[in-house]
Amino acid sequence: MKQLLILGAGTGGTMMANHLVRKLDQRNWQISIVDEFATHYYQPGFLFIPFGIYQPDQVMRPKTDFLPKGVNFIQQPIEEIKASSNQVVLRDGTILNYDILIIATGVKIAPEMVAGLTDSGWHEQVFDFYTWEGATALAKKLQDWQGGKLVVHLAELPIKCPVAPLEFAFLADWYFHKRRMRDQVELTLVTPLSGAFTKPRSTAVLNHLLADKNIHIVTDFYTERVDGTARKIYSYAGQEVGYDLLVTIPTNAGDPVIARSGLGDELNYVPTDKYTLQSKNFENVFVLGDATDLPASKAGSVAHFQAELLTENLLNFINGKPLEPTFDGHANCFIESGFGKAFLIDFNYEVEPVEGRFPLPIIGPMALLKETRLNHWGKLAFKFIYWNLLLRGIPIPMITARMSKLGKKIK
Amino acid sequence: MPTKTFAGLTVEVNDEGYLTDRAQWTKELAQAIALEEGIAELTPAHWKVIEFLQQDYAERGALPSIRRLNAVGGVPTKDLYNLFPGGPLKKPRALPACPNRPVVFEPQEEASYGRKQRKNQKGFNYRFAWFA
Repeated sequence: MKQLLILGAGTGGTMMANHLVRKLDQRNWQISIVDEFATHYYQPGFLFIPFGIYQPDQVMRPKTDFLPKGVNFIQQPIEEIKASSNQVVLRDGTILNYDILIIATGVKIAPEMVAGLTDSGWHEQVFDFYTWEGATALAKKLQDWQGGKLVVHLAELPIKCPVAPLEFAFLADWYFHKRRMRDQVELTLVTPLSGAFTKPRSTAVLNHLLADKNIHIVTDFYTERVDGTARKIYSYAGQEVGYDLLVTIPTNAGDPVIARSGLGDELNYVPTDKYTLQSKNFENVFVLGDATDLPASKAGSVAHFQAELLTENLLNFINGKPLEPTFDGHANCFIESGFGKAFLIDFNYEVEPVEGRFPLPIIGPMALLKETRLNHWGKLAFKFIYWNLLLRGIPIPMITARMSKLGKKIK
Repeated sequence: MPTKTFAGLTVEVNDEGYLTDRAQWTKELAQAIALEEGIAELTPAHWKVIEFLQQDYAERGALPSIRRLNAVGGVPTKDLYNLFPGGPLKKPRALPACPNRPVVFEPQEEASYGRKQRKNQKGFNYRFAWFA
Protein backbone atom coordinates (compact mmCIF):
# COMPACT_ATOMS: atom_id res chain seq x y z
CA MET A 1 0.00 0.00 0.00
CA LYS A 2 1.41 3.36 -1.02
CA GLN A 3 0.96 6.37 1.20
CA LEU A 4 -0.18 9.81 0.12
CA LEU A 5 0.05 12.26 2.98
CA ILE A 6 -1.55 15.70 3.10
CA LEU A 7 -0.42 18.18 5.74
CA GLY A 8 -3.10 20.67 6.67
CA ALA A 9 -6.86 20.20 6.38
CA GLY A 10 -7.70 23.77 5.43
CA THR A 11 -9.09 24.89 2.10
CA GLY A 12 -6.28 23.45 -0.06
CA GLY A 13 -5.74 20.20 1.83
CA THR A 14 -9.44 19.38 2.10
CA MET A 15 -9.98 19.95 -1.62
CA MET A 16 -6.99 17.75 -2.48
CA ALA A 17 -8.33 14.95 -0.29
CA ASN A 18 -11.69 15.15 -2.06
CA HIS A 19 -10.18 15.20 -5.54
CA LEU A 20 -7.68 12.43 -4.92
CA VAL A 21 -10.01 10.01 -3.21
CA ARG A 22 -11.93 9.84 -6.49
CA LYS A 23 -8.90 9.59 -8.74
CA LEU A 24 -6.60 7.20 -6.90
CA ASP A 25 -7.16 3.46 -6.77
CA GLN A 26 -7.96 2.84 -3.12
CA ARG A 27 -6.57 -0.69 -3.27
CA ASN A 28 -3.11 0.76 -3.88
CA TRP A 29 -3.21 4.12 -2.19
CA GLN A 30 -3.93 5.15 1.37
CA ILE A 31 -4.68 8.88 1.70
CA SER A 32 -4.08 10.48 5.10
CA ILE A 33 -4.53 14.07 6.16
CA VAL A 34 -3.03 15.65 9.28
CA ASP A 35 -4.23 18.78 11.03
CA GLU A 36 -3.87 19.95 14.57
CA PHE A 37 -7.35 21.54 14.76
CA ALA A 38 -10.86 20.15 14.55
CA THR A 39 -12.65 23.27 13.28
CA HIS A 40 -12.74 24.48 9.71
CA TYR A 41 -13.16 28.25 9.49
CA TYR A 42 -14.66 29.99 6.49
CA GLN A 43 -11.93 32.59 6.44
CA PRO A 44 -13.51 35.04 3.96
CA GLY A 45 -16.25 35.43 6.59
CA PHE A 46 -13.88 36.92 9.17
CA LEU A 47 -14.16 40.24 7.34
CA PHE A 48 -17.88 40.43 8.08
CA ILE A 49 -17.79 39.50 11.76
CA PRO A 50 -16.57 42.88 13.15
CA PHE A 51 -19.53 44.62 11.50
CA GLY A 52 -22.11 42.11 12.69
CA ILE A 53 -22.94 40.96 9.15
CA TYR A 54 -21.96 37.41 10.07
CA GLN A 55 -22.20 35.95 13.55
CA PRO A 56 -19.06 34.15 14.76
CA ASP A 57 -20.72 30.72 14.69
CA GLN A 58 -21.65 31.08 11.01
CA VAL A 59 -18.07 30.63 9.87
CA MET A 60 -17.25 27.42 11.77
CA ARG A 61 -17.85 23.78 10.87
CA PRO A 62 -16.13 20.57 11.90
CA LYS A 63 -13.32 19.64 9.50
CA THR A 64 -14.57 16.07 9.35
CA ASP A 65 -17.78 17.25 7.62
CA PHE A 66 -15.75 17.90 4.50
CA LEU A 67 -13.35 14.97 4.51
CA PRO A 68 -14.52 12.10 2.36
CA LYS A 69 -14.80 8.49 3.43
CA GLY A 70 -11.65 6.59 2.71
CA VAL A 71 -9.42 9.41 3.90
CA ASN A 72 -7.69 8.90 7.21
CA PHE A 73 -7.87 12.08 9.34
CA ILE A 74 -5.20 12.40 11.99
CA GLN A 75 -5.76 15.23 14.45
CA GLN A 76 -2.34 15.93 15.81
CA PRO A 77 0.22 18.76 15.62
CA ILE A 78 3.08 18.19 13.18
CA GLU A 79 6.51 18.25 14.75
CA GLU A 80 8.79 17.92 11.74
CA ILE A 81 8.86 17.05 8.06
CA LYS A 82 11.88 14.91 7.23
CA ALA A 83 11.73 15.27 3.48
CA SER A 84 15.04 13.58 2.78
CA SER A 85 13.82 10.37 4.43
CA ASN A 86 10.16 10.68 3.30
CA GLN A 87 8.84 10.90 6.85
CA VAL A 88 6.66 13.19 8.93
CA VAL A 89 6.95 13.20 12.70
CA LEU A 90 3.91 14.14 14.76
CA ARG A 91 3.90 15.77 18.21
CA ASP A 92 3.09 12.49 19.97
CA GLY A 93 6.09 10.83 18.33
CA THR A 94 4.21 8.96 15.63
CA ILE A 95 6.22 8.63 12.44
CA LEU A 96 4.29 8.67 9.18
CA ASN A 97 6.03 7.41 6.04
CA TYR A 98 4.92 8.71 2.68
CA ASP A 99 5.43 8.14 -1.00
CA ILE A 100 3.95 11.49 -1.94
CA LEU A 101 3.61 14.48 0.37
CA ILE A 102 1.31 17.45 -0.17
CA ILE A 103 2.05 20.47 1.97
CA ALA A 104 -0.99 22.67 2.53
CA THR A 105 -0.12 24.17 5.89
CA GLY A 106 -1.17 27.67 4.86
CA VAL A 107 -0.18 30.96 6.38
CA LYS A 108 -0.87 32.60 9.71
CA ILE A 109 -0.54 36.08 11.10
CA ALA A 110 2.60 36.55 13.14
CA PRO A 111 1.98 39.62 15.34
CA GLU A 112 5.22 38.94 17.21
CA MET A 113 7.18 39.73 14.04
CA VAL A 114 6.10 43.39 14.20
CA ALA A 115 8.07 45.19 16.93
CA GLY A 116 5.88 46.35 19.81
CA LEU A 117 2.60 45.22 18.28
CA THR A 118 1.50 42.95 21.09
CA ASP A 119 3.23 44.82 23.93
CA SER A 120 0.35 46.99 24.96
CA GLY A 121 -3.32 47.16 24.10
CA TRP A 122 -3.53 43.94 22.04
CA HIS A 123 -7.23 43.21 21.59
CA GLU A 124 -7.98 46.40 23.54
CA GLN A 125 -7.05 49.19 21.09
CA VAL A 126 -5.13 47.00 18.67
CA PHE A 127 -6.97 44.27 16.78
CA ASP A 128 -6.47 41.88 13.93
CA PHE A 129 -9.36 40.44 11.96
CA TYR A 130 -7.46 37.59 10.32
CA THR A 131 -8.29 35.21 13.15
CA TRP A 132 -11.63 34.18 14.56
CA GLU A 133 -10.57 35.48 17.97
CA GLY A 134 -9.46 38.83 16.58
CA ALA A 135 -12.56 39.36 14.46
CA THR A 136 -14.86 38.45 17.35
CA ALA A 137 -13.05 40.73 19.82
CA LEU A 138 -13.17 43.57 17.30
CA ALA A 139 -16.93 43.11 16.82
CA LYS A 140 -17.40 43.69 20.56
CA LYS A 141 -15.11 46.71 20.51
CA LEU A 142 -16.86 48.36 17.55
CA GLN A 143 -20.27 47.95 19.12
CA ASP A 144 -19.64 50.61 21.72
CA TRP A 145 -16.75 52.53 20.22
CA GLN A 146 -17.38 56.27 20.39
CA GLY A 147 -15.31 57.28 17.38
CA GLY A 148 -11.89 58.81 16.83
CA LYS A 149 -8.96 57.85 14.64
CA LEU A 150 -9.39 54.40 13.12
CA VAL A 151 -6.25 53.24 11.36
CA VAL A 152 -6.29 50.16 9.14
CA HIS A 153 -2.69 49.08 8.97
CA LEU A 154 -0.86 46.67 6.71
CA ALA A 155 2.55 45.76 8.12
CA GLU A 156 4.24 43.93 5.32
CA LEU A 157 3.55 41.93 2.19
CA PRO A 158 2.71 39.35 1.06
CA ILE A 159 -0.49 38.82 3.02
CA LYS A 160 -3.37 36.45 2.74
CA CYS A 161 -6.10 38.07 0.64
CA PRO A 162 -4.39 41.35 -0.32
CA VAL A 163 -7.71 43.16 -0.76
CA ALA A 164 -9.05 42.45 2.73
CA PRO A 165 -7.59 45.61 4.34
CA LEU A 166 -9.32 47.70 1.69
CA GLU A 167 -12.57 45.86 2.13
CA PHE A 168 -12.30 46.44 5.84
CA ALA A 169 -11.88 50.19 5.29
CA PHE A 170 -14.84 50.31 2.88
CA LEU A 171 -17.08 48.34 5.22
CA ALA A 172 -16.02 50.49 8.18
CA ASP A 173 -17.07 53.57 6.22
CA TRP A 174 -20.47 51.98 5.57
CA TYR A 175 -20.82 50.74 9.16
CA PHE A 176 -20.20 54.14 10.74
CA HIS A 177 -22.51 55.80 8.22
CA LYS A 178 -25.21 53.37 9.19
CA ARG A 179 -24.66 54.18 12.84
CA ARG A 180 -24.76 57.91 12.03
CA MET A 181 -21.31 58.54 13.42
CA ARG A 182 -19.18 58.62 10.28
CA ASP A 183 -18.28 62.28 10.93
CA GLN A 184 -16.79 61.27 14.27
CA VAL A 185 -14.47 58.72 12.70
CA GLU A 186 -11.28 59.56 10.86
CA LEU A 187 -10.49 56.58 8.66
CA THR A 188 -6.93 56.01 7.45
CA LEU A 189 -5.36 53.16 5.52
CA VAL A 190 -1.62 52.71 6.05
CA THR A 191 0.18 50.53 3.53
CA PRO A 192 3.74 49.71 2.42
CA LEU A 193 2.50 49.79 -1.18
CA SER A 194 2.52 52.92 -3.29
CA GLY A 195 -1.23 52.74 -3.78
CA ALA A 196 -4.34 50.85 -2.76
CA PHE A 197 -3.48 47.56 -4.45
CA THR A 198 -0.69 45.65 -6.11
CA LYS A 199 -1.90 45.93 -9.70
CA PRO A 200 -1.97 49.25 -11.58
CA ARG A 201 -5.43 49.29 -13.12
CA SER A 202 -7.27 48.17 -10.02
CA THR A 203 -5.15 50.56 -7.95
CA ALA A 204 -6.35 53.48 -10.06
CA VAL A 205 -9.99 52.45 -9.56
CA LEU A 206 -9.61 51.75 -5.86
CA ASN A 207 -7.60 54.90 -5.08
CA HIS A 208 -10.43 56.88 -6.58
CA LEU A 209 -12.96 55.04 -4.47
CA LEU A 210 -10.97 55.66 -1.29
CA ALA A 211 -10.99 59.39 -2.03
CA ASP A 212 -14.75 59.30 -2.68
CA LYS A 213 -15.36 57.68 0.65
CA ASN A 214 -13.08 60.11 2.46
CA ILE A 215 -10.68 57.39 3.53
CA HIS A 216 -7.16 58.75 3.87
CA ILE A 217 -4.32 56.65 2.58
CA VAL A 218 -0.71 56.72 3.75
CA THR A 219 1.50 54.92 1.23
CA ASP A 220 5.08 53.62 1.22
CA PHE A 221 4.89 53.09 4.95
CA TYR A 222 7.23 50.28 5.94
CA THR A 223 6.52 49.71 9.61
CA GLU A 224 9.40 49.81 12.03
CA ARG A 225 7.47 49.53 15.28
CA VAL A 226 4.19 50.08 17.04
CA ASP A 227 3.98 51.93 20.34
CA GLY A 228 0.81 50.82 22.08
CA THR A 229 1.25 53.27 24.96
CA ALA A 230 1.68 56.38 22.81
CA ARG A 231 -0.79 54.86 20.30
CA LYS A 232 1.42 55.51 17.31
CA ILE A 233 2.99 53.51 14.50
CA TYR A 234 6.39 54.46 13.12
CA SER A 235 7.98 53.74 9.76
CA TYR A 236 11.65 53.25 8.92
CA ALA A 237 11.59 56.46 6.90
CA GLY A 238 10.57 58.40 10.03
CA GLN A 239 6.84 58.84 9.35
CA GLU A 240 4.45 58.41 12.26
CA VAL A 241 0.70 57.84 12.36
CA GLY A 242 -1.38 58.13 15.53
CA TYR A 243 -4.48 56.04 16.23
CA ASP A 244 -7.28 55.56 18.72
CA LEU A 245 -8.18 52.19 17.30
CA LEU A 246 -5.69 50.19 15.26
CA VAL A 247 -6.88 47.39 13.02
CA THR A 248 -3.72 45.72 11.85
CA ILE A 249 -2.78 43.02 9.42
CA PRO A 250 0.49 41.84 10.96
CA THR A 251 3.25 40.14 9.03
CA ASN A 252 1.99 36.87 7.56
CA ALA A 253 4.21 33.82 7.77
CA GLY A 254 4.02 30.17 6.83
CA ASP A 255 3.54 27.53 9.48
CA PRO A 256 6.39 27.21 12.03
CA VAL A 257 6.70 23.51 11.15
CA ILE A 258 8.16 24.58 7.79
CA ALA A 259 10.89 26.48 9.62
CA ARG A 260 11.50 23.61 12.06
CA SER A 261 11.94 21.29 9.09
CA GLY A 262 14.28 23.67 7.25
CA LEU A 263 12.04 23.72 4.20
CA GLY A 264 11.15 27.39 3.97
CA ASP A 265 12.46 30.81 3.09
CA GLU A 266 12.68 33.79 5.46
CA LEU A 267 8.90 33.82 5.89
CA ASN A 268 8.50 30.03 6.09
CA TYR A 269 7.16 29.73 2.56
CA VAL A 270 8.17 26.61 0.70
CA PRO A 271 10.10 27.20 -2.55
CA THR A 272 7.79 25.80 -5.22
CA ASP A 273 7.72 25.60 -9.00
CA LYS A 274 5.25 28.27 -10.05
CA TYR A 275 3.73 26.22 -12.89
CA THR A 276 3.72 22.62 -11.62
CA LEU A 277 3.52 23.17 -7.82
CA GLN A 278 6.28 20.65 -7.26
CA SER A 279 8.63 21.55 -4.44
CA LYS A 280 11.94 22.85 -5.78
CA ASN A 281 13.97 20.61 -3.50
CA PHE A 282 12.12 17.27 -3.35
CA GLU A 283 10.42 15.73 -6.33
CA ASN A 284 7.80 13.78 -4.38
CA VAL A 285 6.73 16.84 -2.37
CA PHE A 286 4.05 19.15 -3.74
CA VAL A 287 2.83 22.39 -2.24
CA LEU A 288 -0.39 24.29 -2.72
CA GLY A 289 -2.31 27.24 -1.39
CA ASP A 290 -0.81 29.83 0.92
CA ALA A 291 2.15 27.65 1.93
CA THR A 292 3.99 28.26 -1.36
CA ASP A 293 6.38 31.07 -2.24
CA LEU A 294 4.65 31.63 -5.59
CA PRO A 295 4.16 35.18 -6.80
CA ALA A 296 0.40 34.53 -6.88
CA SER A 297 -2.19 35.91 -4.47
CA LYS A 298 -2.64 34.08 -1.22
CA ALA A 299 -6.33 33.40 -1.60
CA GLY A 300 -8.82 30.56 -1.48
CA SER A 301 -9.56 30.90 -5.18
CA VAL A 302 -5.90 30.28 -5.98
CA ALA A 303 -5.88 27.13 -3.83
CA HIS A 304 -9.08 26.05 -5.58
CA PHE A 305 -7.62 26.40 -9.08
CA GLN A 306 -4.34 24.84 -7.96
CA ALA A 307 -6.12 21.83 -6.47
CA GLU A 308 -7.75 20.93 -9.78
CA LEU A 309 -4.52 21.26 -11.73
CA LEU A 310 -2.34 19.62 -9.09
CA THR A 311 -4.63 16.58 -9.08
CA GLU A 312 -3.95 16.06 -12.79
CA ASN A 313 -0.25 16.60 -12.29
CA LEU A 314 -0.11 14.13 -9.41
CA LEU A 315 -1.63 11.50 -11.65
CA ASN A 316 1.05 12.30 -14.23
CA PHE A 317 3.67 11.94 -11.52
CA ILE A 318 2.29 8.63 -10.28
CA ASN A 319 2.10 7.26 -13.82
CA GLY A 320 5.66 8.31 -14.56
CA LYS A 321 4.65 10.96 -17.09
CA PRO A 322 6.24 14.42 -17.18
CA LEU A 323 4.53 17.16 -15.16
CA GLU A 324 2.54 19.69 -17.13
CA PRO A 325 3.24 23.35 -16.39
CA THR A 326 -0.45 24.12 -16.10
CA PHE A 327 -0.92 26.58 -13.27
CA ASP A 328 -1.09 30.14 -14.61
CA GLY A 329 -1.41 32.08 -11.36
CA HIS A 330 -5.16 32.42 -11.78
CA ALA A 331 -6.86 34.28 -8.93
CA ASN A 332 -10.33 35.60 -8.60
CA CYS A 333 -11.79 37.66 -5.83
CA PHE A 334 -14.61 39.84 -4.72
CA ILE A 335 -13.81 43.20 -3.18
CA GLU A 336 -16.58 44.27 -0.87
CA SER A 337 -16.94 48.05 -1.11
CA GLY A 338 -19.74 48.79 1.34
CA PHE A 339 -23.39 49.90 0.91
CA GLY A 340 -24.34 46.54 -0.59
CA LYS A 341 -21.91 46.68 -3.48
CA ALA A 342 -18.74 44.89 -4.48
CA PHE A 343 -16.11 44.58 -7.17
CA LEU A 344 -14.97 41.38 -8.81
CA ILE A 345 -11.46 40.88 -10.17
CA ASP A 346 -9.99 38.01 -12.17
CA PHE A 347 -6.28 37.81 -13.02
CA ASN A 348 -3.20 35.62 -13.34
CA TYR A 349 0.61 35.84 -13.46
CA GLU A 350 0.56 37.76 -16.74
CA VAL A 351 -2.75 39.59 -16.94
CA GLU A 352 -3.67 42.16 -14.31
CA PRO A 353 -7.32 42.68 -13.34
CA VAL A 354 -9.16 44.47 -16.13
CA GLU A 355 -12.74 45.31 -17.06
CA GLY A 356 -14.91 42.69 -18.67
CA ARG A 357 -17.54 40.12 -17.83
CA PHE A 358 -17.44 36.98 -15.70
CA PRO A 359 -17.77 34.02 -15.87
CA LEU A 360 -19.16 34.13 -19.41
CA PRO A 361 -17.62 36.56 -21.89
CA ILE A 362 -19.91 39.49 -22.80
CA ILE A 363 -22.93 37.91 -21.07
CA GLY A 364 -21.52 37.86 -17.58
CA PRO A 365 -23.63 38.23 -15.56
CA MET A 366 -20.96 39.60 -13.25
CA ALA A 367 -18.99 42.72 -14.19
CA LEU A 368 -15.25 42.75 -13.67
CA LEU A 369 -13.52 45.69 -11.99
CA LYS A 370 -16.86 47.45 -11.58
CA GLU A 371 -18.83 48.15 -8.44
CA THR A 372 -22.20 46.39 -8.64
CA ARG A 373 -24.88 44.99 -6.35
CA LEU A 374 -24.76 41.63 -8.10
CA ASN A 375 -21.09 41.24 -7.15
CA HIS A 376 -22.05 41.82 -3.52
CA TRP A 377 -24.69 39.11 -3.71
CA GLY A 378 -22.10 36.91 -5.38
CA LYS A 379 -19.78 37.45 -2.44
CA LEU A 380 -22.49 36.50 0.06
CA ALA A 381 -23.57 33.49 -2.02
CA PHE A 382 -19.99 32.33 -2.08
CA LYS A 383 -20.24 31.05 1.50
CA PHE A 384 -22.80 28.50 0.37
CA ILE A 385 -20.66 27.55 -2.62
CA TYR A 386 -17.60 27.21 -0.39
CA TRP A 387 -19.19 24.86 2.10
CA ASN A 388 -21.16 22.80 -0.37
CA LEU A 389 -19.21 22.67 -3.62
CA LEU A 390 -15.71 24.05 -3.36
CA LEU A 391 -14.42 22.18 -0.31
CA ARG A 392 -15.94 18.94 -1.52
CA GLY A 393 -14.12 19.27 -4.82
CA ILE A 394 -17.30 19.59 -6.86
CA PRO A 395 -16.70 21.70 -10.00
CA ILE A 396 -18.34 25.12 -9.95
CA PRO A 397 -20.18 25.61 -13.25
CA MET A 398 -18.38 27.82 -15.76
CA ILE A 399 -15.43 28.60 -13.48
CA THR A 400 -12.22 27.35 -15.06
CA ALA A 401 -8.97 26.65 -13.29
CA ARG A 402 -6.97 28.48 -15.94
CA MET A 403 -7.92 32.07 -16.60
CA SER A 404 -9.97 32.82 -19.69
CA LYS A 405 -9.01 35.95 -21.61
CA LEU A 406 -12.32 36.04 -23.45
CA GLY A 407 -14.52 38.99 -22.70
CA LYS A 408 -11.74 40.88 -20.97
CA LYS A 409 -10.54 44.29 -22.05
CA ILE A 410 -6.86 43.52 -22.15
CA LYS A 411 -4.67 46.31 -23.49
CA MET B 1 14.33 52.50 -27.88
CA PRO B 2 15.16 55.59 -25.81
CA THR B 3 18.65 56.03 -24.51
CA LYS B 4 20.05 57.89 -21.60
CA THR B 5 23.52 59.12 -20.84
CA PHE B 6 25.04 58.87 -17.40
CA ALA B 7 28.45 60.51 -17.07
CA GLY B 8 29.31 59.85 -20.67
CA LEU B 9 27.95 56.29 -20.72
CA THR B 10 25.01 55.88 -23.06
CA VAL B 11 22.63 53.03 -22.31
CA GLU B 12 19.32 51.80 -23.63
CA VAL B 13 16.36 52.22 -21.32
CA ASN B 14 12.67 51.46 -21.59
CA ASP B 15 10.04 54.15 -21.28
CA GLU B 16 10.04 53.75 -17.52
CA GLY B 17 13.73 54.48 -17.34
CA TYR B 18 15.00 51.02 -16.56
CA LEU B 19 17.97 49.50 -18.29
CA THR B 20 16.90 47.01 -20.91
CA ASP B 21 20.21 45.33 -21.56
CA ARG B 22 21.88 43.59 -18.68
CA ALA B 23 25.17 43.54 -20.61
CA GLN B 24 25.35 47.32 -20.53
CA TRP B 25 25.42 47.40 -16.77
CA THR B 26 28.79 48.18 -15.23
CA LYS B 27 29.99 49.32 -11.83
CA GLU B 28 30.87 52.71 -13.30
CA LEU B 29 27.36 53.05 -14.63
CA ALA B 30 25.92 52.21 -11.24
CA GLN B 31 28.07 54.91 -9.70
CA ALA B 32 26.92 57.40 -12.32
CA ILE B 33 23.25 56.62 -11.70
CA ALA B 34 23.83 56.87 -7.97
CA LEU B 35 25.31 60.32 -8.38
CA GLU B 36 22.23 61.41 -10.28
CA GLU B 37 20.05 60.07 -7.47
CA GLY B 38 21.96 62.07 -4.90
CA ILE B 39 24.34 59.46 -3.53
CA ALA B 40 27.84 60.91 -3.81
CA GLU B 41 29.74 57.68 -3.53
CA LEU B 42 28.80 54.02 -3.43
CA THR B 43 30.49 52.66 -0.34
CA PRO B 44 31.20 48.96 0.38
CA ALA B 45 27.93 48.94 2.35
CA HIS B 46 26.03 50.05 -0.75
CA TRP B 47 27.78 47.41 -2.81
CA LYS B 48 26.86 44.71 -0.37
CA VAL B 49 23.19 45.53 -0.99
CA ILE B 50 23.58 45.76 -4.75
CA GLU B 51 25.50 42.51 -5.00
CA PHE B 52 22.99 40.67 -2.89
CA LEU B 53 20.17 41.97 -5.09
CA GLN B 54 21.91 40.80 -8.22
CA GLN B 55 22.76 37.42 -6.83
CA ASP B 56 19.30 36.83 -5.38
CA TYR B 57 17.62 37.98 -8.56
CA ALA B 58 19.76 35.63 -10.61
CA GLU B 59 18.90 32.72 -8.33
CA ARG B 60 15.20 33.29 -7.79
CA GLY B 61 14.07 35.44 -10.70
CA ALA B 62 12.57 38.00 -8.35
CA LEU B 63 13.88 40.83 -6.27
CA PRO B 64 14.14 40.16 -2.55
CA SER B 65 11.92 41.88 -0.02
CA ILE B 66 13.25 44.18 2.67
CA ARG B 67 12.79 41.31 5.11
CA ARG B 68 14.79 38.97 2.91
CA LEU B 69 17.57 41.53 2.56
CA ASN B 70 17.68 41.64 6.31
CA ALA B 71 17.29 37.94 7.09
CA VAL B 72 19.29 36.44 4.23
CA GLY B 73 21.40 39.32 2.95
CA GLY B 74 22.34 40.52 6.43
CA VAL B 75 21.44 44.17 5.83
CA PRO B 76 19.54 45.72 8.76
CA THR B 77 16.52 47.64 7.52
CA LYS B 78 17.54 50.80 9.33
CA ASP B 79 20.86 50.74 7.48
CA LEU B 80 19.09 50.23 4.20
CA TYR B 81 17.11 53.40 4.74
CA ASN B 82 20.25 55.29 5.66
CA LEU B 83 22.14 54.01 2.65
CA PHE B 84 19.43 54.85 0.17
CA PRO B 85 17.54 57.74 1.73
CA GLY B 86 14.03 58.38 0.53
CA GLY B 87 13.81 55.20 -1.46
CA PRO B 88 14.11 51.78 0.00
CA LEU B 89 13.43 48.67 -1.96
CA LYS B 90 10.07 48.33 -3.47
CA LYS B 91 8.63 45.09 -2.39
CA PRO B 92 8.63 42.87 -5.40
CA ARG B 93 6.82 40.12 -3.62
CA ALA B 94 3.99 42.55 -3.13
CA LEU B 95 3.44 42.47 -6.85
CA PRO B 96 2.05 39.06 -7.58
CA ALA B 97 2.89 39.38 -11.26
CA CYS B 98 6.43 40.00 -10.27
CA PRO B 99 7.94 42.39 -12.75
CA ASN B 100 10.90 41.20 -14.71
CA ARG B 101 12.00 44.76 -14.74
CA PRO B 102 13.93 45.16 -11.57
CA VAL B 103 12.56 48.18 -9.82
CA VAL B 104 15.32 48.71 -7.41
CA PHE B 105 15.16 52.03 -5.75
CA GLU B 106 12.29 54.37 -6.13
CA PRO B 107 12.12 57.81 -4.58
CA GLN B 108 9.25 57.79 -2.18
CA GLU B 109 7.59 61.05 -3.06
CA GLU B 110 6.94 60.16 -6.66
CA ALA B 111 6.55 56.44 -6.36
CA SER B 112 3.41 55.39 -8.11
CA TYR B 113 2.08 52.42 -9.93
CA GLY B 114 1.45 52.26 -13.57
CA ARG B 115 3.16 53.11 -16.77
CA LYS B 116 0.59 55.75 -17.54
CA GLN B 117 1.28 57.84 -14.48
CA ARG B 118 4.98 57.61 -15.04
CA LYS B 119 4.69 58.55 -18.68
CA ASN B 120 2.69 61.60 -17.77
CA GLN B 121 5.41 62.93 -15.55
CA LYS B 122 7.65 64.84 -17.85
CA GLY B 123 11.32 65.20 -17.28
CA PHE B 124 13.71 62.76 -15.80
CA ASN B 125 12.16 59.92 -14.06
CA TYR B 126 15.02 57.53 -13.98
CA ARG B 127 15.07 55.40 -10.96
CA PHE B 128 17.94 53.30 -9.91
CA ALA B 129 18.18 50.38 -12.22
CA TRP B 130 21.27 48.49 -11.38
CA PHE B 131 20.70 45.69 -13.76
CA ALA B 132 18.19 44.96 -16.45
